[in-house]
Amino acid sequence: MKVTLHTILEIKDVIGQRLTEIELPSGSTVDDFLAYMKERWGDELSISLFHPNSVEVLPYVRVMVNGQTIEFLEGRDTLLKDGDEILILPPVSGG
Amino acid sequence: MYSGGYTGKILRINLTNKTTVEEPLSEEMARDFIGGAGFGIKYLFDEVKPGTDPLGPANKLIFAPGPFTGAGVPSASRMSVTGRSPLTGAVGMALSGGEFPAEMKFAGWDAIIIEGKAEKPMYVAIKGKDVRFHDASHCWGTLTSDCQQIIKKDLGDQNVRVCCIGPAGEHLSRISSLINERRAVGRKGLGAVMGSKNLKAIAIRGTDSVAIASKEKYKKARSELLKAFKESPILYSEFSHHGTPMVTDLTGAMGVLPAKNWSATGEFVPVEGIGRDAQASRKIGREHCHDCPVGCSQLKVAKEAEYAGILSEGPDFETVYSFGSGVGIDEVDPIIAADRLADELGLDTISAGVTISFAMELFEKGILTLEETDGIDLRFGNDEAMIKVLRKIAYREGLGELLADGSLAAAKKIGKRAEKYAMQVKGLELPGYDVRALKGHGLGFATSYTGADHCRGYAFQEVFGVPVPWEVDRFAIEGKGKLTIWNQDVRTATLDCAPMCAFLLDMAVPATACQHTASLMEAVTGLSFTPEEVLEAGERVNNLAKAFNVREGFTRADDTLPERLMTEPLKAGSSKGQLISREDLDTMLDEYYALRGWDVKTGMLTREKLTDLRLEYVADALEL
Repeated sequence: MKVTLHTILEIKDVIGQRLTEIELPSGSTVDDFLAYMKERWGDELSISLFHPNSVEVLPYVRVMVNGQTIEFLEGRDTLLKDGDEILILPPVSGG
Repeated sequence: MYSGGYTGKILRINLTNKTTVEEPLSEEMARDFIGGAGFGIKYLFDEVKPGTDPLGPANKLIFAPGPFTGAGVPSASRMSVTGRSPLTGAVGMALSGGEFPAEMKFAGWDAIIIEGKAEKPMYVAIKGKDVRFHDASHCWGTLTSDCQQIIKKDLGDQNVRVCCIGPAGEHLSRISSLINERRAVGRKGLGAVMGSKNLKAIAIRGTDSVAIASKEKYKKARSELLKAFKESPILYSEFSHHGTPMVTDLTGAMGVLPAKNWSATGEFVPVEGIGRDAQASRKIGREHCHDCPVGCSQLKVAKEAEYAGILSEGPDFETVYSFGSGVGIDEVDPIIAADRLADELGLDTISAGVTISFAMELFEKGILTLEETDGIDLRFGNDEAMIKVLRKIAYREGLGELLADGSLAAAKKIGKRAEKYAMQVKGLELPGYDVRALKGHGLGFATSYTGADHCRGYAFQEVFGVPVPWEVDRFAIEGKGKLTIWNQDVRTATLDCAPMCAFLLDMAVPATACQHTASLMEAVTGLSFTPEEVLEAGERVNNLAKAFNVREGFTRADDTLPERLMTEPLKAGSSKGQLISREDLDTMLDEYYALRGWDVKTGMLTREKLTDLRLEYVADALEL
C-alpha cells in the first residue's frame, strides 16, 4: 500500500520535500512507519524527530494520521491503510 | 502597598481644554487588575457611559503598560490601548510591544487616559511630568514613519518615542491602527478613535528607572524565566531566526490556513511561495522589543519586480495570511509591500486584508461589478489590485469608502446576502486559523470580548499540540468550554495585564505562566500573589469586559461564528470534512457559560459570579 508523508520545517529540510509517497506492506502501523523513517533517513533525522539511539519520538513532535493526532487514535499501534496521509510536525509556535 | 514596578501615577489628558491631571494608583487597583488591559478595561467600564459614540469626544483611549514594563523582566515590553471600538461597538483593546511602552514608565506613568477632542489637529509631547500640546497641522496627512520623524525633529530629540496614526485614522477608518516605530496597536479601529479626537500622535520621553521591590527575589525570578526560555526546544533555535511565519507551514500542513476568503482552505495552500523559507529569503536582519532576549521580529526587503527594495518589519504570520493566502496571493514580495503600506497608512493588516478578500469574493461572484470596484479587476490573486484598494481604504476614495469600515459594515451597505461572505465575529475580521478544524479556537473567537481576535484565548493546544493543561483533540467538541476559559483567564492575566509576550511564554512556560507571574509580581512590586490570585485577576478582567459588552446590548446571539464556518465543511487537506455546526457551537457555548457561572440560556453575567470577583458594583450597574 502507499501512504503519503507530509512534513514541514526542519524535518522537511532533512527529507528534502514536503510530500513523499512511501510504499509499505499491508497491515503496517504507525510504529512500522516510524521504524521505516529511522532506517531510511537515519541519524540526520534523529536530531529533530527521535530520542538518541531509539525510535521513540521526541515529546514535542506531533504525529498525525489524516489530520488526527495519534494519541486520539490507537497511538503507535494505529493501523495504516492505502492512501493515508501521515503528518510529522516539529514544534512550532507564534501566531 | 506596592514598592516597585508601578510608578504610582496615572496621567489624565483632556484635549478639549488642554489640561492634565495626575492621579494616584491605588493598591486595590493594582492588586485586582494588575495593569495593562486590566487597567484599560476598568477605566473603560467606569468612565465611558453606555451608548457612547466610539468616534465622539466622550470615548476615551487608555494607554497602559504593566508593572513589569521597563523593569527588565524579559518579554515585558508591552502596553494595552483600550477604548470603545468603532468597529465592533464592544471593548476595543489591543496590545503592542516596541519601545514606547517602557518609555511611558520611564516618564513616570502607569497609564495615560486621553479624553475629549482637540479643536484642531494636535500632538501631545510628554517629558516626565511636563505635558505640552502642539499644533499638528504640519504632520496631519503624513504617513506614520514620516510623522514620527517630523515630531522627533520638532522636539529636537531622536530618542523620543512616538505613537501615531496615519491617514486611515485621520479619515476615521474603523479598521485603522496606531503605530509606534514599526509596531502596531493593530486591531479594533482604535486609530479612528485617536483620529476622531484630532490627535495625530503622542510623543513621550522619560529618564527615570522603574523601582524593584526586592532585588534578591527579582534576580531569582528573572533567572528562572530566562532559564525556561533557554530550555525551550524552539525559542532560540528556530523562533528567533524565523519568527511567526513558521506558522504558515504548520497551518498549511494541518489544513487550517484560510485561503481566498475562507472559501478554499486546504485547496489553495501556497506555503512554498509565502511560508518560512520564502520569508527567510527576504530577511536582512531582526529586531528586539524592549527587554526581549529573543528578537522574533524579522526585517525583510522585497526583491522582485515593482516591489523590489521595499522594507518591512514583518510580515508576521497573521499578515502572511491576510495579504497572502487569504486573498489568493502565493508570492512573498506583494505581502511585504502591503504590510509596509498598511503600517504607513495606519491600517490593521488583518482587517484590511480580510475586508479586501471579502470584496474579491463578491467580485468573483458578480455581487460587486467592475464599475463598483472603480474599474479594478478585483480577482483573488491580483496583488496590484490589493495594493490599490489598500490606498483607497485609507483615504476613503471610491471603493475605499465602501470598505473603510470593515467587512460587516460593507456587507450591510451592499445587501444581496453579502453578509454571508463577511468573515468576522462581532464585526472584527477573523485571524489566520480556520477554526472549522480547531474547535476550541473557534469557541475562543466566538466568546472573545473583542470579537475574532488572535490575542484572546488562543488555543495553542490545538494549533501547536502543546499538552497544557491537558492533551486536546482539536476535532472534539466536548471539553472546549473548560479549555477556552483556561486559555482566556491565564492569558488575560499574564499576557494582557502583566503584560508579557505571548510567544515567549507559550514556548517556554505554558504550564507555569501564572506561577512565574506571581513570583515576578512579588519580586518587582512587593505585592504578594499566588498563582491562583493571578488567574483570578484574569477572570475578573474577562468578566468586567463582558459586563461592558452586555451594557452595550451584546447577548448570546453575538457569541457566534460566520455562517460559512457552520455550514460549509472544509473541502480538502488534512482537515477535510470538518466544520463547527450550529449545534456544535451551542454545545460548546452551554459548557462555557455554565463553567463561567453565567446564565446558560442568555449568556448573561450573574450577581453571584460578580460578587465572587469583588465586582458587586458591576452587578449594581447592570441591575442584576
